[in-house]
Amino acid sequence: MMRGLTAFLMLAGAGVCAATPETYTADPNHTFTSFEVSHGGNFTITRGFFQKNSGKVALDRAARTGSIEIIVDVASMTTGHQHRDTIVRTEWFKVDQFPSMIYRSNNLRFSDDSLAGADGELTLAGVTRPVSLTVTSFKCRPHPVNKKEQCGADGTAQIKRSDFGLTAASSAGDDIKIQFQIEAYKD
Amino acid sequence: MHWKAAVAIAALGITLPAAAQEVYVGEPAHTIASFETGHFGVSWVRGRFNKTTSARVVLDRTTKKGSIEATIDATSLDTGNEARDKQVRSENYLDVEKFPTIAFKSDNLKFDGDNLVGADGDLTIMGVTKPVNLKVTLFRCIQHPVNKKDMCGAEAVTAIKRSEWGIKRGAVGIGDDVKISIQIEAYKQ
Repeated sequence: MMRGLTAFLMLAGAGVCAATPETYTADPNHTFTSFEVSHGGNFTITRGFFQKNSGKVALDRAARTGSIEIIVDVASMTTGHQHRDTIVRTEWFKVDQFPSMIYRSNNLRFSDDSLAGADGELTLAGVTRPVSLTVTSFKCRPHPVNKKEQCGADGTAQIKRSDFGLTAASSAGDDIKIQFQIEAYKD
Repeated sequence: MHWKAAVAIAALGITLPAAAQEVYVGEPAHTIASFETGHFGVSWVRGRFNKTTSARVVLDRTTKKGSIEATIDATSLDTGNEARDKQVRSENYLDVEKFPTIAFKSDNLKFDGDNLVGADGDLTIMGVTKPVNLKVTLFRCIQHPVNKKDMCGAEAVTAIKRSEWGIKRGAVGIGDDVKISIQIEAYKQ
C-alpha cells in the first residue's frame, strides 16, 4: 500500500507538473524586433527593425516559470535606407556567417500573475552575452476575432553593441535599445 | 546724408533680420518618421515612413523664431509586413493613391534659451488638417565631422489620435493612439 501510494503520488505529481506548462508559438505577423541607436553622438536617433522573426514560449503561470526563444532573421533588417542596410547587414552583422540573432531565456520573472521580465542570453554575430528583458506589457486571452488562445508581450532590452564585437562606425552609438513585440498562439 | 544713401542703409536694415535666418534641408537617410500603435492591447506594432519627400527648416537663432515644412511620402509606409502595409496603404486606412503625402507645417517654434524644444503646427493626413504639438527632445547644430558642412539635428515626438483624421477602421484591434518619433538631420543651405 505504502509503495502503491508513493507511486500514485509520484505519478500524480509528475502528471500535474507535466500538464501545467503551456507552449506557445510566435505569430510571425505580430512578432517583431525593433531597435534604436543614437547617431552622431546623441545627435539624433536612427530606428530600424527586423521583419522576420519566429519563436517559442513556454509558460507555467501557476508556478510562474517558463522559457522564451526568439529567433530573428538578420537579413530582414531595415532602417529605411537601402545603402545603409546593406552595409550593416553584411559588414557589421556578417549575415552570411551569422544569419540569426537569438534571444533565449529559461528564467522568466513574474510580478504577481504578470510576466515582468526575463534573464537570458542574446546571441548576435556569433557572440553570446547575458541580456535581461523588461516586459512592459503582457496579456493572455482568446484572440477576439479567431478565438484562439494567445499571449502577447512587449519586451525591452538594452545592449552595448561593442559587447558583441560590433565596433564599426563610431558615428553610431554603442548603446542599442531593442524592443521585442511578441504575440504567440497556444499550441 | 544723400537720400540715396539713407535708402540704401534703410534697405540694409531691412535685410539684416533676413540675414540671420538660416535655411536647413533634411537629409533623406537621417530624416525619417517612425510610429507605434497598440495592437489588441497586448503589444505594439511599430513602423516607419521610409521616405521624407522634403523637409525645410528655417531658423533664426537670434530672434528664436523659425518654421518647419515637411512632407512625407505616404506610400513609403513600412511595418515590415507586406500584406499589412498594403492594407494600411489602401482606401481602408491611409488611401495613399488619393492622398500620397502627409504634411506638417509650423511657423511657431518654441525655444528654451538657445535650444529648440518644440513646434506647434498643423498635420495634414488624408486631406484633414489638425493642430499638433511636436516636442523636441534632442537639438544640436554642429559642423559634420567628416564633410565639414553646417547642420542641425533634432528628435521630435508627438502623439495623435488617428480617429481625429478620420482613420477609424480596425478599431477593434488597432489602437487609436499613435506615437510618432521623428529623426531629422538637416544641412544648412
